[in-house]
Amino acid sequence: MNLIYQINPHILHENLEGEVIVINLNTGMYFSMNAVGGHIWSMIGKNYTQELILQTLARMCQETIAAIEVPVNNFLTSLEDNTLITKIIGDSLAEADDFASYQLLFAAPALEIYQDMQEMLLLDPIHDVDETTGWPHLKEETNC
Amino acid sequence: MHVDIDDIENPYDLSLDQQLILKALSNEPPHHLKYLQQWFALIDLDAINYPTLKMIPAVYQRFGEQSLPVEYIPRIKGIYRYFLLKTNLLLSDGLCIVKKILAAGIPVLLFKGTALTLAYYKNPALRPMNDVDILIQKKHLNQVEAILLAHDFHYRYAETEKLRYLHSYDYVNTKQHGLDVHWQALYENTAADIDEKIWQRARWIEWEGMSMPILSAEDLILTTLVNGFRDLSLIGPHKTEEMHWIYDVIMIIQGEKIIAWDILYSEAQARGLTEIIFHGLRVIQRLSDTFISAELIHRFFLNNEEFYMPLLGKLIAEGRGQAIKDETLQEVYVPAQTHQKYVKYYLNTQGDIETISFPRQFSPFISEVFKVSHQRKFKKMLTQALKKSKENNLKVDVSWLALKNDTAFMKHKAQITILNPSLKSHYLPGEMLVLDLSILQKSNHCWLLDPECKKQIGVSYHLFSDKNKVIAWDFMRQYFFAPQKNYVNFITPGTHIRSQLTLMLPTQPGNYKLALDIVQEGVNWFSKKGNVFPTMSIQVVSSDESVVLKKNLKEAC
Repeated sequence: MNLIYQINPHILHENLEGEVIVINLNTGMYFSMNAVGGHIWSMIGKNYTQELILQTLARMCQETIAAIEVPVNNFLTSLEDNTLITKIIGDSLAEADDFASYQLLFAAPALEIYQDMQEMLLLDPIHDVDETTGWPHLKEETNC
Repeated sequence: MHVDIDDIENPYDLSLDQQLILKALSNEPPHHLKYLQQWFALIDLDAINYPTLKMIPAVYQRFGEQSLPVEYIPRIKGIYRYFLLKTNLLLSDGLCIVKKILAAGIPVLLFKGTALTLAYYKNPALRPMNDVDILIQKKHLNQVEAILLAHDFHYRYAETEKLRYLHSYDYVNTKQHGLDVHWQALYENTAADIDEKIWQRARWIEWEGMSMPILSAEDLILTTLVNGFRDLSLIGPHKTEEMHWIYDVIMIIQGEKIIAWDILYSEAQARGLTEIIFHGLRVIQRLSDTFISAELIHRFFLNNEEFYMPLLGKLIAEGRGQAIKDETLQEVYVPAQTHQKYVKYYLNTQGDIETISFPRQFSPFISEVFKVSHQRKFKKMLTQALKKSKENNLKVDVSWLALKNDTAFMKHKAQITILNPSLKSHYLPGEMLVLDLSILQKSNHCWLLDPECKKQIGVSYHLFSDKNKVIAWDFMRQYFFAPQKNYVNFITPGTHIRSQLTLMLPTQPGNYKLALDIVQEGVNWFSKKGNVFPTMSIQVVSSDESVVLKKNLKEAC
């Protein structure tokens, strides 16, 4: 038994061709994360420990643990602060060959938070959005 | 007699872009990709309408980024994200409130979008919807409403609006998430026990760890087709954009190994909805024989004289008799006198009218129901055409005609006669009163349905207190026009219109007045233009009072 991460109930998440989006069904808040954050999220989905996340990510990115430790821990804290994940005592579902074939260029994992989704849902997802990124990224003039 | 399926005109034609997107979503690889590419070549993402927008998440999910035009990928992905969030939040609130209703010991059946999502789409992003629909038994309605009110929901409209609704109430919470409470599965059928078999056939699914009953596949197809077609008939055939209902039925068929079509057919028969189901299934069959075969439609509909004879009679009445293979049939099935007259028009590529087709007897009205730029020339041309042909149905190449957009007329005149032999003096709270009406068109001009079908004309009623104070003004309408695509529909002066209007009586005991009226939507009520229509005084009494009143009446007799 270890101190593992788990995704909280009422959290809905989906991987859209590499982009992980997360919805807190209790608060209606919407989150998205970059590629490194998405991989960490996948590890949390398999109940990794903090140490195992760092080790796996360091191997994938060919970096030292020391080099990635601070941004990764900040990211994990941010996920906890937004009640997306919790630490519990339990067994990890990690397997030896998880992420074995993955290679990744390290960038600080980032969590993008969208709070006022009721407003965002009133927008036209074709015309009010940035054409290069799509909803929920707004056009410059729409974004006040 | 053999009736060829392709001879029966379909009131609903899918546009090419609708056909392509539906084929792209439902055909097997590799053909699906061909349809997708053709669809993208045809559409402009910036110009798509909301019904098409709702299909986009399914496109994204089925084809992924690699098959989409590069310039559209970010926005298409964004549309998927948008509906993923929107529908999941809606369902999350729906689940919470359904749990509360179940906890009170009230049986709930899920149907419409919620049932389709959970049972077939599996992913809420793929089935955008605005509300969660539940079916309950009417005896639980008050209890369910109390639960909703106690949990952040309120009735979506003014409370008096409830009187207009015979089968469901729309609730919404402060996040604008809707919950539609139905005590009858369909607006078309409000008999007390009509849904009994639907409840018996319910199947169970899992919703977030909870077992929930939903409508059977057959009943879901029935309700989906009827709801799809009802919306169509309300907005008219000129606005046929909504197509998710077609994809819904395809999803059900693809998701089930077996559909008990005989059950669907008998349910439709019991509800008097076979014609709607026939047309709905034909829309899908015309899209592809894979989902619904022509053989199936023949087996259930076109081998059944009771079904197709009235339909053929109607087609003859509408001058669309190509379906008639047996020459003698016209004599046997004399079409019932229909109050709605029509002229079919055909447009050229510039969108101008180039040909009209109509029964000879409607010719005097043509110059009135169209905008005619050169009256004299047009009349001359029409007279020549009438002389030249001896046919009853004429097809004439014309110039100088355009559709009339402004159909609001100045002087509305009509008379309403109640045909019910007798009416009760007192009613139970919430009881329904069905009136048989005859409406006489007394204007000196034709009543004309506008091309957009927004200015429908129909009979309705207002509710007053016994002291003539308005309690509720707007109720359900019974429209006089059944819109037809590419037809100008009109009602000529002197026409008698037979109509049946269902009035829902107040739920509170008291003395009321019900005033019949005719409306032209978006224009005016006929009563505001000097018409006087029948008013009925009624007494709504509690069931206990009703027993006493009946007893007194008996004694008096």
